[in-house]
Amino acid sequence: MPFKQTLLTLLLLLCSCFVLKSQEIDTTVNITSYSSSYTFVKEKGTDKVQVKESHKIKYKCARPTVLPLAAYYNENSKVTLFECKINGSRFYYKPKDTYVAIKDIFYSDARVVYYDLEVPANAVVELTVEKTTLNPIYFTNIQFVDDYKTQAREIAINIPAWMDVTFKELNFDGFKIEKNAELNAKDGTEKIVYKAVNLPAIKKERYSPGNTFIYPHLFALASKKANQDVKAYFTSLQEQYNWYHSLTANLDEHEHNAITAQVSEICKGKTTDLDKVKAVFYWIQQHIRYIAFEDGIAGFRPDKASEVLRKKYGDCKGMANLTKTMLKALNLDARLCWIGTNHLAYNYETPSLAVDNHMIAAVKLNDRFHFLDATETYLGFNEYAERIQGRQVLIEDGEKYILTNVPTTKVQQNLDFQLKTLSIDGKNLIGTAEQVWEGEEKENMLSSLHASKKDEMLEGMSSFINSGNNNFEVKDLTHSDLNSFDGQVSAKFSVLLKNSIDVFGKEQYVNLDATKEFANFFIDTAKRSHDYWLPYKMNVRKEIVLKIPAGFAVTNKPNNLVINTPDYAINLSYEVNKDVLTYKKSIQIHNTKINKKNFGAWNNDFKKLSQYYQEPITLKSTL
Amino acid sequence: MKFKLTFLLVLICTFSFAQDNKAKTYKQKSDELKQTIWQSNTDIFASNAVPDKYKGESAVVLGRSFEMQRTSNSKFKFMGLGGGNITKTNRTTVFREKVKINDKAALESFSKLEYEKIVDRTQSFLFSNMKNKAEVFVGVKVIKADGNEQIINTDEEVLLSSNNKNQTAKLAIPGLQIGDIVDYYICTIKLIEGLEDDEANKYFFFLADEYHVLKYSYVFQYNKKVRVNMLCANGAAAPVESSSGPEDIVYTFKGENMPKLKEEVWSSWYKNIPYFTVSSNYRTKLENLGASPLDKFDNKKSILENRLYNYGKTFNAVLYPFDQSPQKKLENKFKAKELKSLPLDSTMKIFYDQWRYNTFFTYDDRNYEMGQRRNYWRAFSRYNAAAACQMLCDMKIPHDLIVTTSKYSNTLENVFDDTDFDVLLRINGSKPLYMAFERFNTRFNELPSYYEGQKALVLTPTRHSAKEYTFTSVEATLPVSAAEHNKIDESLVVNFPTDMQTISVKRNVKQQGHMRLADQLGLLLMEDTDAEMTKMLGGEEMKKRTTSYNVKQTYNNLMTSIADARKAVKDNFSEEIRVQYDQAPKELSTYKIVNSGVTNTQPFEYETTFTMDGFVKRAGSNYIFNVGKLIGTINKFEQKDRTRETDIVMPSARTLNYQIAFDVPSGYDIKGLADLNTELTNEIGTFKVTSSSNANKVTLNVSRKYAVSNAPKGKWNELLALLDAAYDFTEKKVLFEKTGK
Repeated sequence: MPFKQTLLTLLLLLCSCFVLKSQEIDTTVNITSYSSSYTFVKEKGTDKVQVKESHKIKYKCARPTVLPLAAYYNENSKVTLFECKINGSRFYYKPKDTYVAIKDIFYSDARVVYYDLEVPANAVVELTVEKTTLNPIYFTNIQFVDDYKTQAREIAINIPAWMDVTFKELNFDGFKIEKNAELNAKDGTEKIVYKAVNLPAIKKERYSPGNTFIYPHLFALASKKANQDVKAYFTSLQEQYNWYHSLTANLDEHEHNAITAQVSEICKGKTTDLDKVKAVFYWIQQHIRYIAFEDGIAGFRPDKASEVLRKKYGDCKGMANLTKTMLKALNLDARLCWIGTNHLAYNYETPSLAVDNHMIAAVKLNDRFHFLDATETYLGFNEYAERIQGRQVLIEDGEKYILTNVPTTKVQQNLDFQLKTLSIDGKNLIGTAEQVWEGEEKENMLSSLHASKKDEMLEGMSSFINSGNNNFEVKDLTHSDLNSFDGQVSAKFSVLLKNSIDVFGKEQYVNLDATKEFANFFIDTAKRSHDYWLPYKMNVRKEIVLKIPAGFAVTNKPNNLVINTPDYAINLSYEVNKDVLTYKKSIQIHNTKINKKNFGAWNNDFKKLSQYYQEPITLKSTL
Repeated sequence: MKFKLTFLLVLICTFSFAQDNKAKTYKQKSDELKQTIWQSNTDIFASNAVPDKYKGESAVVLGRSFEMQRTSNSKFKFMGLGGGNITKTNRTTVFREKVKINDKAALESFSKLEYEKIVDRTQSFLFSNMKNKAEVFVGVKVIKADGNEQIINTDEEVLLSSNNKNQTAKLAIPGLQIGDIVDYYICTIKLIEGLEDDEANKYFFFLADEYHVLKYSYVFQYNKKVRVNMLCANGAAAPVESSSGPEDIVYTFKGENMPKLKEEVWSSWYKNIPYFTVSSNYRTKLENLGASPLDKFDNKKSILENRLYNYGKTFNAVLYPFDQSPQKKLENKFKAKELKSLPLDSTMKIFYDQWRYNTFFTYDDRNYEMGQRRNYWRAFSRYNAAAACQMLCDMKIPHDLIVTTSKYSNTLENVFDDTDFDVLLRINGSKPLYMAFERFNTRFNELPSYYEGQKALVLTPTRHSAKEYTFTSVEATLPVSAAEHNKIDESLVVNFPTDMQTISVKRNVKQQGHMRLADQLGLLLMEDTDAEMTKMLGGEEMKKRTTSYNVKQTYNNLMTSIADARKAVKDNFSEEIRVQYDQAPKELSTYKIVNSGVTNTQPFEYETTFTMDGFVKRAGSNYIFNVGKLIGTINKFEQKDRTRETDIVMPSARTLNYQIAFDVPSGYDIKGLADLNTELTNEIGTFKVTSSSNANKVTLNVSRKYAVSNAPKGKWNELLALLDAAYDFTEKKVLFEKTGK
């Protein structure tokens, strides 16, 4: 709700939540030593397995700074000790304890105990934290790195003989990490100690792979050893599925009055199953708001479909469940699906609660599954977002499960196409044009447009069309239905390209390309640490047809630019046919993941593109 | 209508402060409030109809009301071993709004509520306590297109914090869709014992909004013991006064069709948009005993007179001691007779510089940051002018206080609070000399741009004792500086490397008057400025100017901060270039401050050498040089910004001159140079370009002059013409044509 400026004082809406990692990280702070120990224990009385962890972290602050010290917990864990010393003296103030505000999540049960510690230059801060995870199923990984550079890191894990767990080492390459394992002959406890030196600070960069792809960590899994009697972790995907299934088994509401009534209304006049599926899917996209909740077991259990329908909002689980339920109400074979987006490095080969982070629905038509992710508000049926493309997907199948992959679509799913027909008018170009958006280009554009106010939408669409170029005026804009996501969205408009022609004597230099996609899209190799992952496969096709004025001839035009690699293709050309010049541009990014080792080649190729954009065509008077 | 609104408040307040209410749970109170508010029928919320002309809007506020009731009384309170009468205030506010949702943007904006449900700051003292508790109740109703109303169960909220003293909640409104009307209220019921900050009882409303508001009312109800101040500005109608009984007074602001706010560049909202503000105050006799003299208010005088009276009472060296080092500096430097004989412009400059030095260049344990942010510190003009005035009275220097307001804030007539005006000093010698107590780079006898042309009150002080001053006042208008006074002179020498891929630019920038201030703040290193000021004033080394309970540690912090600030200098210059050209330099090879312009009256001068991409493009065997871009980025005004609703209020009149020099690359001729020449002059200013060449040496002189800082909205097209001319020039190019063709 937008609280008005004038009411702020009276509403006293001072948010008391801790904003997750909101502080700017002071890069002059170092962790000189960071030791952690993890021990699996059985709780007295109940014999329930818990994970006790303790951490001792020593920070060296070169300059006066505010040092955020934090320990996170939720209903499945508790922080039992949180204390610190500054330059050897105990800091006695009580730490703050509050809910964590996580960007884009409406509500989370995550809590934090924290200090925002003001420290002088050259301060040494020692933090001691003890925490207990009440059920090891939620204890999924151990991280080596921190927000600050770490000079010495030690992780000790104590695994009693009765405990069925092992730790998979991930992303160790390139880091100095040593491992030592000892077995206590008396009680069979295995003690594994990892020691690492000179670990980098976690670096946040836009368009990076998720941290599980980058930083070294240990991933907790069942060891599957026969002699261990406590099976805290899933020993198979079937076990993981069984747990999920237990949370979703009683959600069937396809005969619920509200559901059937709504489905009937949505599908009125639809005769084929495909049309009905599309109608339901698009209705949910349009009418159900995505609001993220992460709340204990509710973080895994979908909300009832009838509730999502009543509230008109839900998280991915709720939206998936509503999609499935509505389709089931149509007697279609619809299922719930669990999936890990491409933010995660894991898949279902390593069963764990950490391997997925999303739920979608699937519907089987003509023996083929179609996946339906209603959280992607503006993607059409059978159009898949990059983040789930090719990812393993766990489909419910009664007591069993089906493991398959979401289809990987080609770059052609997405399209940003523009055709302009232009003529010269003094120093300007004028004409008409049409524009088409498809797939994720369409979703990108519509997301932005629908976030704008109604009376600013045309202006917003113009900005998409002209790439923010003030000299590219879009007039008389008409467009297809912006609330229809099936297929493409298109627009028609008149064009005025101001100052596009430089006249010097008898020669006219024409700058045809006013949008220049990917111009100066260089990756700073000196600053960039991680691979660069584009949000989706980009497919830009632009075509300009220019009427050459009578008495002029094209005396110079850039040579065609052709760059074809497995990851991207750039093709730009000018063709003259009688009194018509045609400019064609095609830029296709087939592989969204730009690997660091390819940064140099990328920069070289896109420099060629940028230079190409700079060069005008020359028209010379023949009179 | 008036009766109904008042009735609603009475109902709520009777409910909220009733004795048996203490025993009620939050839920019970919330339910009763819901019933009261939803059952109240007022014409503000009667209609669900949206006129056709608003159907293209994102949202339309069909009705909005804000109702406030304050009751303050004296209450005897036992405190520890003693007791006394303190203020007990019950305050209830109800904000209610009924909004038609027309699109997703509005749905997103109005579909979530976040509020502090309970804030209990009650303090306990032995067997007593001072209550300070607020409870916030919300209610939401969704009205569907068919008129069906759904009252939302607010128990669906989620709690973000949940202890007894503090509860913050969030509610995602279920069932709300595009096309619906959301009708919601936020009711705050607060009980406070003891004095409150005056700000807590101040309400300010612009009568314009993000959305069209079809009907609105703002109702303020007070018991008669409470003193109420009110101001209606820029044409806002005065409230209707009424009463619901002998003990209270009600003020009602009511209207229809509150316009949608249009943001315009170079505009002053406080001068253009109607607004009103209401505040209230109550103190027991006991509280008044210990109250500051500034808290007194004479109802027979205007608000401004009261505020100035209060300001005059701060001239009391006993109650409000101040730093006297500027006076001491002069007295130590000159004998009394000598001081009298010296011209005022030289002695007063020393006085003023010493004030700057003491204000901005002293360090302590909370005040050691030396990064760029420190440059933006601003002094409190009222306090510093008062201190300076007392010193000058002591030294018998003839001077006046100048009370005025910024051109971007309220007018002098619309002063409401003690902080709604600023104060400068004017030394009355052979010519007026101004002292503005602003920033470290504000010079002696320099009037900040936002005061130029403003109405002012000239207060002439008379000192009766160290504790008593009186003032006589006359009205005046502050002077306005000419465009020639606020000037930038840029010299750009451009070279072309053989591959013609980049250009190399040696840029020298001299800035004078108001045009130097922003870049001084962005580029000057505080460490260097400190050294310069110390040298000029014969000050002590930095360590001796560091006061702290732990000088060594604070000094260490200071040195660390200085080292950090030094590392950022190159980035600061790079950022200046990026802002100027909307493009970062490819490489910044040299950068330096030539003259800080802080300790002298010379222009602020700096030099950079850098390379830039994108200024030259190949055209066959020729090259096209976008020479116009060298004057920097000029905003292109879109069609929607080409109409004007408010008068133009620019920071200052100004002149920007650019001299661009380059050699035509060997093997090429230049074409199009003469086409760059242009001149446009109108009432607002001039844009002029002249070019010349001698052999292969080319010089361009570009001048942008804006002769006025303020202009009526009718002159917008003339200003646009100048801006368009400058923008068009940034698109201008010359051709380097290969010779021997």
